[in-house]
Amino acid sequence: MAKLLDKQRYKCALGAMQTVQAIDRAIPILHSGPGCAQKLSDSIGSSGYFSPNIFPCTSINEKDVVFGGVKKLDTTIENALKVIDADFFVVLSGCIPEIVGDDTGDVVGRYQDEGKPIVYASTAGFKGNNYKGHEQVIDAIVEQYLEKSDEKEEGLVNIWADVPYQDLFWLGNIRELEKLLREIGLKPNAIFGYKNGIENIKKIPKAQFNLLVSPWVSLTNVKKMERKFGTPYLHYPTLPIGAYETSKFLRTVGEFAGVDKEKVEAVINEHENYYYYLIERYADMFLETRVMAKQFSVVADAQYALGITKFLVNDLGLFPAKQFVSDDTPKQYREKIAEEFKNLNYGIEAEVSFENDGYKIHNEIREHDYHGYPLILGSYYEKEVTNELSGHYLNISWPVQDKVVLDDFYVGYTGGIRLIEDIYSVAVQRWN
Amino acid sequence: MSYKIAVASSDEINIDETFGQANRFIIYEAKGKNYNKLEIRDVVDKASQEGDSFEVEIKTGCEKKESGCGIKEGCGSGGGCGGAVPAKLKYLYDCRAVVCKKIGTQVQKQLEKKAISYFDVTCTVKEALDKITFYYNRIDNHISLRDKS
Amino acid sequence: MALNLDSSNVGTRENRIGSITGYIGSLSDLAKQSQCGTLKGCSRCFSQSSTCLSSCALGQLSAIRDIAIIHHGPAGCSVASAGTYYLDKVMAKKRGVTNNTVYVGTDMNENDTIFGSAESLREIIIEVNRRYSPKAIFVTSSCATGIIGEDIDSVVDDVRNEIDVPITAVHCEGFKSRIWATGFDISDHAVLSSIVKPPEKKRNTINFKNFYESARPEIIEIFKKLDLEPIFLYCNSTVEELSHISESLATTCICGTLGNYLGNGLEEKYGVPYIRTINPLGVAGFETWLREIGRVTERSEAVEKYIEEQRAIYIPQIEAIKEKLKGLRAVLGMGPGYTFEVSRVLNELGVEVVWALAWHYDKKYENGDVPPSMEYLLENDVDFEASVADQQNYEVMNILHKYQPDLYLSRHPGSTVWAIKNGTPAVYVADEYMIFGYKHTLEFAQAILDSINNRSFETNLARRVKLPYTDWWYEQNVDKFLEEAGK
Repeated sequence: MAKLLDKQRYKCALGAMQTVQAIDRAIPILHSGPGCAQKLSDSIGSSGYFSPNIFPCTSINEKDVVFGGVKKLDTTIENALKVIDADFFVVLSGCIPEIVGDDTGDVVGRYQDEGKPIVYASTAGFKGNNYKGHEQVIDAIVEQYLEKSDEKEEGLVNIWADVPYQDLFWLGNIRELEKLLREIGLKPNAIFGYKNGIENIKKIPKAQFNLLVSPWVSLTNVKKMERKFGTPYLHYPTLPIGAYETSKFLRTVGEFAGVDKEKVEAVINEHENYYYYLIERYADMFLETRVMAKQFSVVADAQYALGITKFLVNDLGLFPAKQFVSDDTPKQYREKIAEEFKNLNYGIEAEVSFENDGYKIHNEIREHDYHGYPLILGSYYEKEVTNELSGHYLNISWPVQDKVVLDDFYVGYTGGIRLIEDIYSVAVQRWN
Repeated sequence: MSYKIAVASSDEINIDETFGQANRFIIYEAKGKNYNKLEIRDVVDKASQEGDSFEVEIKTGCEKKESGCGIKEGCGSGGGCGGAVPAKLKYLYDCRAVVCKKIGTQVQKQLEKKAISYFDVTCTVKEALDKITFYYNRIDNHISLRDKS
Repeated sequence: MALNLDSSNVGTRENRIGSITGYIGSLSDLAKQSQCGTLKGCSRCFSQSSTCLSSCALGQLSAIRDIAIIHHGPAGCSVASAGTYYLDKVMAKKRGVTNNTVYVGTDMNENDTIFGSAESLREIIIEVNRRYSPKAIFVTSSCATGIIGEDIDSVVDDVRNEIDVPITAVHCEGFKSRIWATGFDISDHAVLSSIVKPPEKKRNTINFKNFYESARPEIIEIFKKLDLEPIFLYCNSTVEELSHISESLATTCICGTLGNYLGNGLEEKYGVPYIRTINPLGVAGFETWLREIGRVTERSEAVEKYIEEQRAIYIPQIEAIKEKLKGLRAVLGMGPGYTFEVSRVLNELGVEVVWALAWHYDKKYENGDVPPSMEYLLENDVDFEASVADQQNYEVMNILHKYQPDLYLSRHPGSTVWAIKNGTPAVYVADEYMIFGYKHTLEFAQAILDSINNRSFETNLARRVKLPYTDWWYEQNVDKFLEEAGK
């Protein structure tokens, strides 16, 4: 049922065009109104090899509503294949084709029969948000483009993480996860990011296992791949930020992959040494700040709400006030995610609210006593309310206006250090 | 409430004429999901009776040629300087929609000014009328186009 | 034509004033055919994405202070609310005011597309009013609500007696028009029909329609000399301010596409003269515009004095820089409110326009005239290749590839990058005041010069990147996918 979306923190399923955009040399073809792509794009690393203003689009009009738009879709695909130099095409259908009943699959199927690298996903805006749309795109690739492979490549691991572009740090995070896996001797395979394109997609069925680093996004995808390709999966729900969680992450992955324990421990040791070398040097600053209370709140999607909460509690010794998960997490995952928020050092439990009504979130933040200047990590919407409370604010979730990120990241040991830098760069701007 | 739809068809079976080619339109009256033929309206005849001159198919420098979209139709807007286009149009002002094979932008705009929808389609008259009346019936009654039953 | 302010539906720009989105030829031919009524508009059988009219409509309305916009549709339609929140906050801060406008969505889902969601919408309106007590409420539709037959007019009528501020339905079904600039008309229509009140007394104010009021302080200064006070619309406008715009001496606009509906509406309904000159860009534009304001408000003497003073300061500087720009060749792609205006300024500065793309072309403005910007070019024998391209980047790239100009000028986000990837220096004419008056004309000329004189960024980038179109496409004529409509 329609509901009040006050201070919205996600887009619609068609926002998955950004998921496609994150695959090197892949382009979405939109069966939608002329302005959908522009609305759904942000200027955060959008002018890549392809950009939203060159996505082919059927630009549906009233005639297409009455008579259907499949003919227009057909000529758009046909000509896109001629005009655009891409490796992979993903047709995304918007609201109108879905409502009037255009058979997008039938049109795309004809090009698939000709052997063109093209798939389609139903991403009508009312089908869900862009987190769901992201899953739909991966689903389409798995279902329509890939076949089961008898040949498995030892040590090859598909990495799945959160939603590109919706996640400001997606590129840096993926690259850092790849790097960490490489260090323990695995061969990472991700389809999003620099030079990760069609060749990586083709390798998916050969992987030894799927590694999902996300509280819930893409869980359906890895399950599907388990059924279709027989690829087992490791679901690591917490985005590992900082030494505590990253070491745990590496041990878990290493064990699942059957990597020599000593090797994993050596990598961990090396990283922790440097990590604590840095922390030791700055510990006085953390301890002697006059301007930061111990309590914090995160307002973000499940990924960052959970990942950052664990980091701030388990690494930095802060204390969680209420946390807000604003990605409209599907109901079936909520309980399990809430459990993870209770799984913190010293038996600390964080209360979490699955809420995307900004009005309610802000009222709860206002009403909570943080016993000092609070630290609020959230979207741009949290800036004003944090100011009201004389708190410290960091823009880490969508919408983002306060930070420019090219390939910065919060994942891993280095990511934890980056997050500390960001938090204290804000804090040091005040004396008391 | 009933409304009229003008259809450009030489045989009353297929939508086979462009707006420019059509000298007569078949007028259907629709109400709810139903429609029936009301009359054949000879617009050229009417125009000449009333002394409205208009030239048919005056070229505006746009020859037939190959395009990326198949063969282009000769495009002329059907009028020299002086704007003769609307002459035959005005006999369709009582219609809610005009259906023909192709329709020039000039004519489209004239129609839109009068809040008349146009549909340039190549299909049978029946298919066009079924779809258009379905659409209007749904929208007028605030019923979603989603459920086709 | 007469505007019907009683209906919440605005005819699309296509239907009211005859806009087209597909044409290739020359400027003089476009004008001739436009005047003859023989202009052929073409559609494309291949297109790239452009803009939704709701972005234009709600972008305008959401800049008004302390109002509420309720965008009834899936979350993607209301996604602009995020940008609006930011923009409203920073624009208000710059001006030293506060803006508590809220823009919410309704996150329409699958069920709603079958059963409708009028009741939920009603509750949402009541709740938004309770939470924020806005000064006016705009309830707007989307493609999805349009084709499920959602009756937003009835919902709005129904809640009107429970809400004591103006509330109006704003029709924004994107599929209804390919002319996204119709959105500007839609917003003007909403303001005219729900907020503007009949005049009680005349005031020495002048309505100034613009986007982001960056030249506000200097325009206030200029008008002070003329004993006029500008009211900037709609960025940072208050509902109270808007309710009195019928009392102004005149309406003017930085961009014809943006302002003509409001200007004509105020003139038609309340007798407020609408300044219909070329835009105040460049020397000729600025002077023509200012003289017309002088004439309409009976302040010609003060205007002439001002022009004389300013000329003495700026004209020698502009003449000096013209020497350096001589011989440059430019391609530009902008909305129709800017393409022909900027072409004129480039011509004034001695830059040759080799191709001008307008994203759409309004054959006739609201009052029935051919756009003044074009008339001016024709009278002054300026002609060049022109096309109407609705932000079709692949056509722009084809043209840039063939003409290899010294410079590409654009005004829409995401478009300049493609020129520089082609190795062509690009100037983003972002701010609507970037070429306003003498001072900014000089700055504009300098910006061009600086862009031309250091091409490091674009040459570095162009050397490393591949363009996204096939070789096949570059060999085609630019009109390859224009499908001429049969007569």
